[in-house]
Amino acid sequence: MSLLRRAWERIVGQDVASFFPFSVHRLTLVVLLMLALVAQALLSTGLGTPERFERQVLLREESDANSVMAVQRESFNVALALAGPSTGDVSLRDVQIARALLGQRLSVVTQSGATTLGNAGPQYQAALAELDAVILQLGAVPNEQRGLVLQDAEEVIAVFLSETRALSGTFQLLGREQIERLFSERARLQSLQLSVQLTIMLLLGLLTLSVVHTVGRGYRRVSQQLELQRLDAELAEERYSLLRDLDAALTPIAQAVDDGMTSTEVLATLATVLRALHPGLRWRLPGPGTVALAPVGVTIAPSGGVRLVPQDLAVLAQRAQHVVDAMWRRDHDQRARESERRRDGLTGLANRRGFNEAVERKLCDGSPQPVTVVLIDLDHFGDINGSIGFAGADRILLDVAQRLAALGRTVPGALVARIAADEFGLVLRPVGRPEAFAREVQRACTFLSGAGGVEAAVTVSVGLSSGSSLHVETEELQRQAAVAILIAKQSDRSGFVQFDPIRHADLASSLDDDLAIRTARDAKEFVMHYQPVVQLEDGAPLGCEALVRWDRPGVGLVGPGEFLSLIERSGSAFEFGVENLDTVLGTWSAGLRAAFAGCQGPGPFVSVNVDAVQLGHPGFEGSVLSALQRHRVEPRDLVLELTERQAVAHEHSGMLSRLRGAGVRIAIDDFGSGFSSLGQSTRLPLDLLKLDRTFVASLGGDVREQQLFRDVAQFALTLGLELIAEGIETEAVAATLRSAGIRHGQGFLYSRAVPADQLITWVRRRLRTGVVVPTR
Amino acid sequence: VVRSPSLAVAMFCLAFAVVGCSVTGDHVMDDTPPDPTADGSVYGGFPVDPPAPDEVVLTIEGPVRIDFTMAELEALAVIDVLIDEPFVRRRETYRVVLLRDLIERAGIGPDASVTTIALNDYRYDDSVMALREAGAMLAVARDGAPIPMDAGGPIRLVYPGDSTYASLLDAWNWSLRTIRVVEGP
Repeated sequence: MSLLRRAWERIVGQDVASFFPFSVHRLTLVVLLMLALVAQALLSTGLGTPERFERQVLLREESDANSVMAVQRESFNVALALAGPSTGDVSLRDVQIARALLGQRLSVVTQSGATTLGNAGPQYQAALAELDAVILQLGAVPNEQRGLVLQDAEEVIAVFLSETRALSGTFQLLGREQIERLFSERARLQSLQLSVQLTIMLLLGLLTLSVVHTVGRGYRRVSQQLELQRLDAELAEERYSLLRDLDAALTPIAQAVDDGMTSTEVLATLATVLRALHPGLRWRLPGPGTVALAPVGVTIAPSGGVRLVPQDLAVLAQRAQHVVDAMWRRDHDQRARESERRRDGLTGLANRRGFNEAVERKLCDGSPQPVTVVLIDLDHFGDINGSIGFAGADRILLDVAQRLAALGRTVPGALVARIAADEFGLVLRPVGRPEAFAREVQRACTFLSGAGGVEAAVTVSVGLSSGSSLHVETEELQRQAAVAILIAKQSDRSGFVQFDPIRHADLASSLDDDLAIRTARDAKEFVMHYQPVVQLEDGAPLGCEALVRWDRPGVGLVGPGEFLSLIERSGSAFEFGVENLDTVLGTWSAGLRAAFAGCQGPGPFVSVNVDAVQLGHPGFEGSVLSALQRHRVEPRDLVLELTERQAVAHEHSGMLSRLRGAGVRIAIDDFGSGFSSLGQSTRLPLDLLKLDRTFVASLGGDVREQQLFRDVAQFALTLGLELIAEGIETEAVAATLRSAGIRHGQGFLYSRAVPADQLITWVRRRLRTGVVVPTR
Repeated sequence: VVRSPSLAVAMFCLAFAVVGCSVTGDHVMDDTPPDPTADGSVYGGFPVDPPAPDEVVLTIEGPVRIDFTMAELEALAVIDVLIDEPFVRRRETYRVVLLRDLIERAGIGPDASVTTIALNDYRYDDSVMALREAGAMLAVARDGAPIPMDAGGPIRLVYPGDSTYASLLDAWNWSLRTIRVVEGP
């Protein structure tokens, strides 16, 4: 049963109950039909068949006709019994018995319910009554007189016999009646059967109608569902093809967004493409202006002939929205990047670029009022950096930035910028006198800072320059302000100077170099190059020396010999040194050290040159240690190169010993050039001696020089100092050095000073090949 | 109750069939039996003198010929049975002797055929076996009195209500006089 149901559900796709719902009236029809069938079965096989009925009637009941026939027979018997006495052989008892048997017959109740006597008819009854009188008379007379009685009764007996014979007609009549009744009975049964059969047929018809009706309804329902499914499929197909077309149309636009098509063009193209997609869809796109402000939704309003539901439209709109969003995101990012390029990362103020643009804008805004540029330089910022560390120094910078920003907010249209590490700028049109504003700035930025746990007095130098677009260019205005600041710094380091074109004309030209250095530092034109130090025996890299270069625009790389004096003169030598050390250690930990990881020797190192101003600065030791810590560089990786003179000058300060104690290695640079004293060197806290290039170059000379060199080398080795020969340019020199017991060196023979990434490549190649190939 | 038109039609048809059936069968049976006492003389005629004490009322002609007087038969009849008398359509109590016992007494085997002969020479032939199975009985008294001659007396064959011969009127021989072997031992 369940198998059948499953098969049905598999074929029709619906359960049986929903296809053939239970119904009371159909159930009733079935019950009635069953009853009718049972009735029909009973009629055709049971008691109701005409034949059986007839047989029953014939056997169980005495038919009217038969009874009459029996009466006739018994009547003749009575007549025969009476004939006996006439022949003299009459027995009254025989007559009585014959009459009794006739009486028996006459008392029989027939099939029709009548008595047989009644069926015999009145004439027979009358004749019998007369005969009975004769029989009574016979019993009343003696035996010998009975013959006479019978003679007298001859007429009566004749009548009785005649009536008895006439019973044959009655018998025929009754027989016919009986047959007719049988036929009518048969007809009645047949009509009953017919009625039952008709009822069965009718019920069957109704049931069939009901089933057909239900099946038809189920079929209609199934076909309606199929139709709905077909429509769904069509709709899905339409939706899919629309989506596919849309994607195909949107892909090139999305590509164009990536390729930088302007938002106006993108929206125009999008509008054209979307309009062409489907005539029944009215797209609404955000205008270019709204897009610039925020992401605005793409919407679709369907008109006639569109069968899509709102969810489909939402999907389509979303696809288009993705393109608009991408465009918006692109524009937004672009604006953010633009803004970022004009912004200082630490303070959030404008940077030099933003500042320059602001000055330019102010000068060109058509106002006749002069524009004032105020430059603010933190005094001794290098010292502060060294003593309280970069984090503390950053906090001081933020403090200054906030103070200046607060001040800037008091003047409408003022812009505050951080234009260099320790330099801020303000461009504005002051309400009152410019110098009064400058004083205000100076007051605001003079304070005692507790940042970094160390008290530091913050003071600034302020340079000020005013001009209008009629008289001055942007750059000139800034240059004048920069000159003013230099003057201020040189004068007493606490004042402010307003540039006066007439008074400061000469000074300005003499300060050009200083200004160039400042500008170069601000523009990060100073870069670090690195020259490898190798093992002379096989050329294997051991470490490197960091050398500062000025990548001067329009000039090219300039060596330190040409600009160090300028830096020292500008008073920023310490800050310069701290910055360089910071750069070197950053590069070292970022990847350079990893390149030297597989090297032999006393451990990889990077050496940095330290000048006299740095050494003499009280913050030097702190700045070195904090830089090592900040960049997580092992102290023994760092070699500080000093001249012999500087080392001697600071011999008693104990600073060099402390640095060595911390692990930093100390090297004497340019050993053997002029001022050299081997005796002094023994007292100094040293790790390395770097033999000067001139000393090394002299090796090609006479024997006496060579002997001297051997002695020096031997002496240094005896003291336990590592020797590094500088300026090795030929293999011959290298060979001589090797024969003198010098194991390490550097020079063009191996590699010139190169940027860090090139050095890394060089070192890796060396370590991989293991072959000593001098390079140039 | 009738909620659907098809159901209504169906019920109407069934009702029609039933009514049609009863209307067609319009021959009215009058089951009231006639009262024999009301006009007994008309049916029965006259009282018949009872048989003499030594008069033979039944003769069985088998291998052994036996004659029975009324007194002998009454001595044998010890069973009272209720019989639906089919001719007058009444329930009556008869005192009977089983026909089987009488036949055996005459040495008639079960495979024989006999003919039963009435006073008026009415004959009914049957096999002994069939009569035994039909439970044939010889009645000698009705309702505690001798059976009148006009009621099939003095002796007659009767059959119980559950017998197949209850409706076989030919077998109900009245005023039986003789049972004779016609075939077999």
